[in-house]
Amino acid sequence: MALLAVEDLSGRRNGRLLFERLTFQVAAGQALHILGPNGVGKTSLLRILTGLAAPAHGYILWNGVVVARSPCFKKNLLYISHKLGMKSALTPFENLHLFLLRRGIGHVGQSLKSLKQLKQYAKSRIREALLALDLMPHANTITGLLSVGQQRRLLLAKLLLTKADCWILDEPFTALDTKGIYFISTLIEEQLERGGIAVFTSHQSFFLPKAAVRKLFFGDTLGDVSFS
Amino acid sequence: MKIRRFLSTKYFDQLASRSIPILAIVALILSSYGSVGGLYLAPSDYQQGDAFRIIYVHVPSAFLSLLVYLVMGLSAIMGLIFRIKLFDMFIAGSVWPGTCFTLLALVTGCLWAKPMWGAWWVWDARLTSELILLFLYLGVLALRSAILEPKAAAQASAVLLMLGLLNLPIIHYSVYWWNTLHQGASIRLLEPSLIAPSMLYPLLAMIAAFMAYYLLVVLLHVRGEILLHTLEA
Amino acid sequence: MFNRFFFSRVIVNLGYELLSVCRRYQDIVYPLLFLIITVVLFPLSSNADLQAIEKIAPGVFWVIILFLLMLTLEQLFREDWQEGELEQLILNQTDLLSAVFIKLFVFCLMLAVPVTIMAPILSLTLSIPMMALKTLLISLWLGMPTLVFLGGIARVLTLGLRHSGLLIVLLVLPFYVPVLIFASGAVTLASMGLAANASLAWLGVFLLLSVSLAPFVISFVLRLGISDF
Repeated sequence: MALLAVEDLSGRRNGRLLFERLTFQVAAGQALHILGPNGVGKTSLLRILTGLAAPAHGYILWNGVVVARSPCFKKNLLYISHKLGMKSALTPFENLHLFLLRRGIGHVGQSLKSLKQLKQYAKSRIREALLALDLMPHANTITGLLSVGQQRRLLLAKLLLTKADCWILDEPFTALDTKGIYFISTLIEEQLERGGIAVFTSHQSFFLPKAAVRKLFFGDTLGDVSFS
Repeated sequence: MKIRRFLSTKYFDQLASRSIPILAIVALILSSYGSVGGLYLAPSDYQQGDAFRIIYVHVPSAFLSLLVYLVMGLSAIMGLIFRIKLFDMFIAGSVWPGTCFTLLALVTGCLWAKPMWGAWWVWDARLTSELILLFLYLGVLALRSAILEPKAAAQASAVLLMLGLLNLPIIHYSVYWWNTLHQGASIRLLEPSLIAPSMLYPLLAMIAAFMAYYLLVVLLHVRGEILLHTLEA
Repeated sequence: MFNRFFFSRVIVNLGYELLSVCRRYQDIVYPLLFLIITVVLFPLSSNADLQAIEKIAPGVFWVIILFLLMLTLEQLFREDWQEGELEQLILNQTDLLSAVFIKLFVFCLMLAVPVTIMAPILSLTLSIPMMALKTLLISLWLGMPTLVFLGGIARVLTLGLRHSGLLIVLLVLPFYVPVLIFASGAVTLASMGLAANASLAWLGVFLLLSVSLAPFVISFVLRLGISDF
């Protein structure tokens, strides 16, 4: 049962007020698309939602518990920012292995007996994900040497590898070709069908015909935030 | 709870506004007694002549520089644990006075060292500790001004102050050890002379006057910040 | 955090950190280069008055080490921050503490290896007597981790800022003074033939305190969310 609720939220950056008295809810199976011109505070809002930045005022609630005091939220959160999110000195394979290890592979719902089985399981999952993303030929190249598009596709592997009820994605569609955009859109729809939620910002157009997407508009002036 | 009421900004504002004139008068009276008594009335020291009179500025400022850091450190710890804004206002109001007291202590220390030992700067344990204290203050100042977001700056400087407070005894002890390693016995300057009440009382008065002045400055700053906060809300 | 896979997670994490350091070999070469340059410059610029140099040599050695640290501290969490890896770690609360410790440990190793290699050569250049070499190395191995761990705290307080290099130096200077005093004191005593156990013991105390407490402080500061993106 996933429910992200925001109450009376105001956010600042460098002392400048970005938005105030924001209240909304994203229920299971819903997606929230945040729109607005550059520099208006979309990324700041996403960072506040994840808990990386503290809001100036207000609360964020996950299933009724304040996010700051909810370990359950952090376990169920997947955050993709506009940065790489991985070590650029390691290969995709190694990066995803580290990611799975930190995530606790038990998340995927398998009880494993030994370390060896763990490693085998991780390897097979990563191979599947890289195949699905067309990245197998680059699986052993250092991530820093991949092109931006390939790096962004690599981030999608994170979406494939773990189950997380709350996806917070910052510009997930950038640097992707049509096939990539379609792939992500399918992933988001599957996530919503599973009962999870997705909050994302995007300048590009995308296809989410079946999903219930609400839009949050950031206007040019301060506090001009409205829903549709 | 009474303490919680004391820490609410509205109550504190009233308390501050009533204390400020009292503190100003107290500081004025004490400092006039201290300066006249120390600079004019007290007899010349038999060892150092009239040069010793600079202790009436040097000792209070050195004492205050340490006291202010202590106050800032404790406010930082309280602010981090209880997250009360008032403590950060204390810190904001204390940083500049503390730095100035430290600078004053160092400068008067140099002015004192010249007739005493013939050099502008001596690596005495106390002066060296004071110099390191100056760097601690400068670090806090620099950090507060470098971080633009005020809440983040407050939290970062609170962590730094807390660590500095814990480190202060270690620094004092290690500088003292270093000094004995390199120079032998430390020079004891004023112990015999200070027994005379005509020299001691003005000194204590000056210390109290400096403390009153510091409290005055901090309370003025805190009142200003409380006003700013009420305007913004 | 301490489930049955904790140990293997730590080992794998450590392995990957070492791997990424080895791949970015410039990070190891620069400290070595800095030390070689000082080894070359020092005799060139001094008058070769052995008596005078011998007196201040331990202090100069440790000041060089401090300079090395101040030059390289800026790199400490920088790549992890810029690539977003640090953000992901902060979100994944269970592993933040061990990951911070591992990163600091790897940074120590990265510096300790070139310094240990260059220490005998540097002490020859500075005319530190050979009988002090053992104490010198011990003071290095006790002192440098302390400096790195304390520097990590200063680094993390200034993470998103520009020109943070100078600010880190200013913040961390008062905390380095005790370590400097005891470390150079130990080497001075050893070069005079006296026992330096007391100073080394104090260095050990600082090491234990900083290594055990710094990761907690760093995780706390990272979770506060001070840094800008």
